[in-house]
Amino acid sequence: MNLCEDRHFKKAFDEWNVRIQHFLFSRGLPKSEVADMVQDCFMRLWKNCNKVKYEQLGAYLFSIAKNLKIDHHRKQSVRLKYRIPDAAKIELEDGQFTLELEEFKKELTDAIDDMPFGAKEVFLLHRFNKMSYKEIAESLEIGVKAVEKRMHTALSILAKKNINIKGRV
Amino acid sequence: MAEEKNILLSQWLEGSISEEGLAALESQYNLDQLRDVLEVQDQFSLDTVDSNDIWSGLQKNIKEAAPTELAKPQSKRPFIYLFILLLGIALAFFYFSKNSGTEIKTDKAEQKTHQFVDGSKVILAPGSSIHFNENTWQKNRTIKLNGQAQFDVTKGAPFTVQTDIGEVKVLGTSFEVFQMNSVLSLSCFEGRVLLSSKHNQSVEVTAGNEVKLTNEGFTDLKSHNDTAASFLRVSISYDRIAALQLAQEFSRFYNIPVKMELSNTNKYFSGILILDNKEQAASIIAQTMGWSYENQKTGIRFYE
Repeated sequence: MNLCEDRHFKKAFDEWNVRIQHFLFSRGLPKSEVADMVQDCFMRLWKNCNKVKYEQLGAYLFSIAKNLKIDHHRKQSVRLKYRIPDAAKIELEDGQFTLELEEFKKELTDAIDDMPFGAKEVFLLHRFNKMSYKEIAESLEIGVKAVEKRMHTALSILAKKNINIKGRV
Repeated sequence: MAEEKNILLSQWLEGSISEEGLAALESQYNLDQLRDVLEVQDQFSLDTVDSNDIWSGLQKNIKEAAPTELAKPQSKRPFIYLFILLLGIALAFFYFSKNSGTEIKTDKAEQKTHQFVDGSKVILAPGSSIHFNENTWQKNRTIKLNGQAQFDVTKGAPFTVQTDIGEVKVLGTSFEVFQMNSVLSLSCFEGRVLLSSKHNQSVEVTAGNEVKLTNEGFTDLKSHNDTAASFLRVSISYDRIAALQLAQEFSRFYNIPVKMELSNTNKYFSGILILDNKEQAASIIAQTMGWSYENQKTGIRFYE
């Protein structure tokens, strides 16, 4: 598959755009800057379309995204609110339910915000990008053990929040 | 042990935790509740930027930037490139020589007549195609046929019709070849033709005779009084074709969708399909099979 061809490049974009966005979110980037960052990633890919193989795409894009974020992080350290909109899957039955769901979202977002940067990053990649510990370790260039430790930290913070869903959702 | 403790929740999530570890976790956390929270969270998605917005921005930037040049070949590379170039030329030649020629195709409900340079003629039935090379026609009159056609052949070099199942060599003049799925029917109207199977068996078919060829061999030597191809007549007769094939044939001649709503599609039709009156054609099929039919704007529906 030749990435210099428009249709293959579009396919690569469709396949990786959302995952790169999640990656950037997990690194604490605001939505207002994510669009530009994703464009930057794919522009670099386009400029190097001759050199990158389709199978290496994920690793290539994540490594660009990682460096972009580091550049960005050095310039201005922004701490962000994490937003979790409800997916269409969850059907809201009545007003009371909506309120409770909003409450749940708020508690969840608070818990994620309380996680240390590294733990939050790993947690979000695992939950939203559905990446395995090994894949996360490779994209962040850390060991699998380190990923497991960070995930443990993230989950323990979430568990300590004692968010009760039974009887609410 | 302390080293291990700080990854217990990760192991629990992956399902790789030991019984000991699980007991330790259960004394500390409400795992059921945590599992529920994660399950609800899994139904959320992140508030991402609209893909179309990013893509259109990207398209704008791309137009201004061309991809970088290919890396320059190293000293050993020229041989590889030369090899690839030669391979390319060979493939192109192969492709060109195989595909040079003319293709004629008919759509559903369409019929085409083509006259070759030597005066021979082919009438192509709906939903069929032929492929041949007119440049070498005088020396090699070979046609690849997919579907159904009538040929009227003038004297000259051997005239051959190839299909996936077998090939027909012309010794005389007027005949019809009809290939449907894995059955080839050949009717000869004038003179003689020679039909050969893939296994090099052959049979000579003379005027007024029809023969069928399947992958198993020749069947059904029959005589007829026809003087022109079945699809050029007002009706075409079938001998035991499956209901779904019948639907395809109906659709091929009338160019309308045909629905078969049958409890058992494993039924066979023997009878005629009228080619110049859709209503009548449907009615005859329905009567023969004991079905009902409906002639709707969107197509014909047969049901039980």
